[in-house]
Amino acid sequence: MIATASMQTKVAPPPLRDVDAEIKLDARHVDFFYGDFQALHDASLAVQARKITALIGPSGCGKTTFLRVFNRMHDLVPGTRASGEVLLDGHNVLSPDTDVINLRRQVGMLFQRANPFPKSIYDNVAYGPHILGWSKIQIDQVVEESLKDTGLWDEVKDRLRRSARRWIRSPRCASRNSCKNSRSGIRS
Amino acid sequence: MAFHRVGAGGGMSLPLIRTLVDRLVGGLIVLCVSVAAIPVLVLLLFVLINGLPGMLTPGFFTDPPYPQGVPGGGVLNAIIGTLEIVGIGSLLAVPVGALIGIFLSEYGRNQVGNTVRFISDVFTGLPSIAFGIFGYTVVVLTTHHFSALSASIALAVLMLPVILRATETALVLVPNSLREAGLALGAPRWRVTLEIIVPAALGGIVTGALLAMARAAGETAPLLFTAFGNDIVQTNPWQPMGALSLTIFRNALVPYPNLQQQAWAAGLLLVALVAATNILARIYVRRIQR
Repeated sequence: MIATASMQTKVAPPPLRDVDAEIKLDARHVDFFYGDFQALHDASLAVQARKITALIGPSGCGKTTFLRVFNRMHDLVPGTRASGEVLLDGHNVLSPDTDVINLRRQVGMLFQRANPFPKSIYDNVAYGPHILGWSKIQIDQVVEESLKDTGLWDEVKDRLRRSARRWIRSPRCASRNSCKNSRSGIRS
Repeated sequence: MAFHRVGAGGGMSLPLIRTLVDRLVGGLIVLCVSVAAIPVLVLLLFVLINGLPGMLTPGFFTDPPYPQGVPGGGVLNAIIGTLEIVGIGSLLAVPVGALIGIFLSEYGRNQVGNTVRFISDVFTGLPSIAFGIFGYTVVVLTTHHFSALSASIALAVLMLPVILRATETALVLVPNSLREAGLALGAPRWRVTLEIIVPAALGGIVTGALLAMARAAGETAPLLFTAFGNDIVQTNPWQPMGALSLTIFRNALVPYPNLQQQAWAAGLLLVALVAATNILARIYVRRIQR
């Protein structure tokens, strides 16, 4: 399903809602400010569980800004402010008592550009599960699976541990959810 | 679309005046570079010519200095002293400086950070003998003893601002996208800093630490009334100790040619030590980054 949200208009068109669908993430009346500049005007979007939702719009219309609100990445930019509600399983992500670290573990994010860490291929793929405290065996398994899923395994299996500064884009497991069954991964 | 014609005829040949200005400015730049480079080259050449004979004297690396007037002798005491004093100083300054640098870069965009930066800049500008006074009053006066340790502490304080600013600069240069990539995975800030940002900036941090060590190794003033100097080979950091810079300073002022030659040789050795450290560090950094 594809939902288009026009975010520069004052009132967003009502998102398509399937009555039976389970709503995983529900953004309601989100306004977003970079300092005094308002980038999002009353943006609303309902994202269904186990569905791929695409957000389409001209460049600069606020797609990425909107997505970054979902896992509070905007916190990192000084002078930004979001209002409204973003409900993830019913909990408002924007409320001050949200544990952002936990939130980001649940709402993974892939960026427009690949950001390889200055680590080996293995460590790059493993970083997400590593943070979650997975065991060595589990991580070994998920690294192999991820690289096989992306068709890179045969190419890189012999140099997994080698520290590489410039190397291919590799999949990075954002979290159990976004890695295993893409329940709430965001692709920017 | 509008074209601006260059020259009346629109031909390809440059007007004479522009060619001249180009040559003139090019010549000026070469001149400025020479003015900066020649003293360094002359200095290196002088140290090499005057220091090499002394360095090749038997016993230079293996013997302690002999009493004045007795021919021969070496600078073993000073070699050990410089390595030990700078080594202990680095052990004290590098971890603390790197941690402060990390704080400034990752958490220091506030008043606390600005205060630390200001103090550090003031420290950078202090004359190095002031650090000697610090070592003297804080360590020598309280322990009633000149010691290598007091020199290490003085040098550590001298190195600190260099290391912390170099670390901060190296960390600030790490693109923000890398921080966001780490944080977006749900990593806490401290893990992103230690596991991603610091490794990415390691080259700059190591370079900064080595620059500080090189500067400390060449310092004489902070050692005058801390390490004090010692003609006996001494490895105990609680005792007075010699250092290459002290050997140069003392031996250059005595009327014995063999000791003067020793001073030149010690100067050459110091230059070589610093250069070797820098080259090795660069090779190391290049290797870990590949």
